[in-house]
Amino acid sequence: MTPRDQFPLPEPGIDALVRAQLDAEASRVDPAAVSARVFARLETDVPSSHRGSTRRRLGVVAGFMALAVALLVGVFVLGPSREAVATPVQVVESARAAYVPDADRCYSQTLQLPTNTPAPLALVLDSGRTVSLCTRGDRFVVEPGLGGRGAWGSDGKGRVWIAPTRDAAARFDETELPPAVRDVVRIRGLEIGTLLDEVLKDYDLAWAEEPVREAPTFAVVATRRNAPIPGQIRSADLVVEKDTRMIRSLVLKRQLISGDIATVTFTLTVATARDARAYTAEGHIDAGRPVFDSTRPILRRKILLQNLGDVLVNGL
Amino acid sequence: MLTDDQRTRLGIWARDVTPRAVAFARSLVRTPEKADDIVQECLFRLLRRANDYDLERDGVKLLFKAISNLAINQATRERELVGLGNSRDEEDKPLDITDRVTLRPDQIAQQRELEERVQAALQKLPPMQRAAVELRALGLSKEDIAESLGITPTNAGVLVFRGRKHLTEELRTVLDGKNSEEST
Repeated sequence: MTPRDQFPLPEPGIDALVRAQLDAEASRVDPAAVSARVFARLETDVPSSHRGSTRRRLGVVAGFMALAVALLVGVFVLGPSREAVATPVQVVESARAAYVPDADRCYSQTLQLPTNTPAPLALVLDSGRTVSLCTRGDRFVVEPGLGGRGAWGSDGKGRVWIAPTRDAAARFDETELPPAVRDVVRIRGLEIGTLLDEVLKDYDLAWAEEPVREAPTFAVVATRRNAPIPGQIRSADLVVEKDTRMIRSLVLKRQLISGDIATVTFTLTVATARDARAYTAEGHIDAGRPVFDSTRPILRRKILLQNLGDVLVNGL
Repeated sequence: MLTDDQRTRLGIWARDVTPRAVAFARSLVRTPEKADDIVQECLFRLLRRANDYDLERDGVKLLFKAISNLAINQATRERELVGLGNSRDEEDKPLDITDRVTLRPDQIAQQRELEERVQAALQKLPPMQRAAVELRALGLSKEDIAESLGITPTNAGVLVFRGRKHLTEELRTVLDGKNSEEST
């Protein structure tokens, strides 16, 4: 049953008006937060039948385990309290369930290329610099942009745009991108839902750190089962907030063609609504300024060359 | 205990039904926070017994039944209370993350005004009538509405009929305006 089937469309007239009002209210609800709290409560819930049998079992062994219990209490007093919680797989699944694709999220992002990366490429790709990445589903915007200027991003329609200044921008279909730029898009972009699906399917998950009751987060390390091909993620370190199941931070290690690893770190900074134009070229240039696409290839190439040099356009 | 597969599927189900469930609860209960608590509690109770139901098939009906029970009882208790403040004051409204970038400002204002008029008209209905009309608008059948409200299908039909009649009277000018738009 598809989600749409669960709420069939109403008859025209009064029912449609009421439905529109309910849907307007529903659009103001963040289901991720509600769902995350419910599932978090489920994970710590112990059914009453189990509680009864557990009490009986403890009653039987109490006489033999008194000394061990005293020792355990000592451990809790002396050290951090251990937390009996879900498995790493369940934590990542609940993060996936809590993920709302159309919500806006912003991260600080740092890309670290291997030390043997040619200096001009590392400079243009801002290796080592922290930038702001905001996402809404498969749309994203990075500021400052390539070479530390303007902004760039993807508008979610299979198009990538670059706006080095407010005077003009360039827009590409993904198939038109120079290979180096395509790699950058793949490395810098982040679609949490797709990533978590991939992690759940193709990765072994383990605790990066044993869960601690007092800690507000879970730390999970995901390692790809098979050797990655260039462009794929080799491993991912995820930090997941306990109460909301939002991804607080990610460290992704991507395999490059050279066999080296690029490390990209994302840290959640803010989750507030952004104007949809922020994810488009038009949102980062002055009104009336042009966006050059495939219909004006010479001017489009000129923007890239003027602002990024021939590194990305022609490659090395 | 839920299996991994159940957890994933039911997580998706919960995420899909939650917004309308919350909207429904908020229309019945005075405070949005209480409505949110009711929905959370009802979701928790259902998911806790996920192995006893087919939630993906029957979950909407069961969830709205649970919400109706709690929310209408709550609304009945709150009816005599006078709040110290209007929890629907503009500054208390939750952040509207609807993408309105495709609408002109005057269209946004019109849309907001329409929503408020419909909401005000719904609030004038007795809770059971309001619940019945809203469940109908959400696509539930007369039988499902009856089950959700703990009444007979005949009574459910009567509630929907009366609720629609009162709303039609309240929103006559809106409906007439829409009819003339469609005929031009």
